[in-house]
Amino acid sequence: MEVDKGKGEAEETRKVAEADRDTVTLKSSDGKLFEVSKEAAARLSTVLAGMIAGGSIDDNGTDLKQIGSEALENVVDYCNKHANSIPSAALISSSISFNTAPFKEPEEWERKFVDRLSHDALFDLVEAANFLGMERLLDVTCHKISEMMKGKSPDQIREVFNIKNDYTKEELEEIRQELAWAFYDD
Amino acid sequence: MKRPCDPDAMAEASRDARVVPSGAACRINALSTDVLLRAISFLEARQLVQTCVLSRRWRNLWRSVPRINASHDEFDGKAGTEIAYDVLFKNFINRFLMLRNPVALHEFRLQYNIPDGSNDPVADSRDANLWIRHALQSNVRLIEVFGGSIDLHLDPAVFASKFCFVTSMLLTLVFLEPPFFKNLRTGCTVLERLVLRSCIIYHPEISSHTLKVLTIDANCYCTFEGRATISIPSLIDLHFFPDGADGARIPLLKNMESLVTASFAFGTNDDLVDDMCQFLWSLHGITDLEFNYRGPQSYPNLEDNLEDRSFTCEHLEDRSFTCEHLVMVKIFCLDTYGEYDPLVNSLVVFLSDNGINPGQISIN
Repeated sequence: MEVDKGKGEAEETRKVAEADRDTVTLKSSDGKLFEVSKEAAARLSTVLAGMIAGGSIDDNGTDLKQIGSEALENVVDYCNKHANSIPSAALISSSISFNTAPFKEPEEWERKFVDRLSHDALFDLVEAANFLGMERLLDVTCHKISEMMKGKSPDQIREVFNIKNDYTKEELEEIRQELAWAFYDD
Repeated sequence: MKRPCDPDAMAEASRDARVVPSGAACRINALSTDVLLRAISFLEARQLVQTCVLSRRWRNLWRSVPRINASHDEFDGKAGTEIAYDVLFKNFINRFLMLRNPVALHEFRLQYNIPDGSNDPVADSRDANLWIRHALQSNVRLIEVFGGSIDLHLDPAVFASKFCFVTSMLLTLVFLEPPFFKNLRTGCTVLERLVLRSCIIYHPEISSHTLKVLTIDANCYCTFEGRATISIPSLIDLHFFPDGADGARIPLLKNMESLVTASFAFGTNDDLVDDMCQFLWSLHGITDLEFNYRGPQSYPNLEDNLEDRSFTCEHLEDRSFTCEHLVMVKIFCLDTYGEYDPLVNSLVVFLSDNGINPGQISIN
């Protein structure tokens, strides 16, 4: 504020007005509009944080052409739920950068949040979280995928995810030989 | 590498997720490699490697995961005896790390085990130290090590390398000997978070220019005599609860100008009030301070000692106590005296004399 007081005033006022809005409007690929708290969006999504900081947020709905309305609804829902769940160590985490904390197991509400999703909705959300740079949501959804694999045999995993086995019998045998140290008891 | 699912077709399908019956498309193979690696890196190491047989897309994914979970438990019961599956586990992790692609590692979690009845825990810790060194050389950011029922002997030399990028370390059931803390300071120059649980610690002279969070939990045991020294100008959050041979003295704090929250436990010993006064004087911007008194139920010389201590406090009264940011002081007493404990009382008086309002002090 100290510098350039005169000529930047109009610009400054506009920016202040923009900053005063505490929500941003996002538009899905199929044209539906969603509102989300600006604070939560900036905190949870590096892409939205960049857009907010860079002033490229559109008041009439910022186009997110890669994300369908169902996935975007889940993204917004996640942001709102996250904003409502007060972190236990709020005081500490506010002063310490998020990256230094190791992966934290999904919290109860996060677990419920991903558990209720259909198979396709889960993958849509993974892709949306990846696109928006939402590290925590990406971890929580990726963790869910790993849980769907955990303790299952390769055949069971193929079935859950509909993975087509495109190896020949000989190739599979070759792999098992090559990595015998990982398959000793099968 | 061929992909059984065409990614473009998948992207098309994802736009209309509800129309495609679940199970008809292979959504997981349509994920980008980075995202897929992130998902499977949550698996434990053995199951992770075994994903290579799923399809050609998966053949070499395990070699590039950003997170490794090496867990001894995953091998539990895979062979006849404890020694036998210990060999399987070590052989597995050695191969795994050797055949891994040289890509940066984000997180390394190790759950180790030294067999019961080990004659040489130092030698039996060697593999773990090699693996941790490997992780550090792979630019790992986050390390978690769980030592097992016989404490893993962590080799301080592992942390002396100048090129550690580790920012967070959580060590459980680990034996730490000098110069562990010194090597952390010189080697791990971006370490911000250090959490020690149930560790055995030799002489903690802890100094750092980068640590922000330091926790030494109540199951840690200090084998040294005397007093720990902590000198960390960057530290924001300190939890110091170790048990010790010497009545768990309050640590001597130096250069702690960033400290915001602190909680610590202390036992009863002759130097208690001196230590505490010194402790309080070394705090500047603290807003949340928790004392956890772990003394015996009745302390025979309490009255006598108290007089000495009061004298000491009076003697030092002209020194200023500068905790103007302190908003709440919680005192937890485990003994039956509670707030009538003369020791607690002298502490309350001391705090009040230094501008802490009685309403800001709670005694439990």
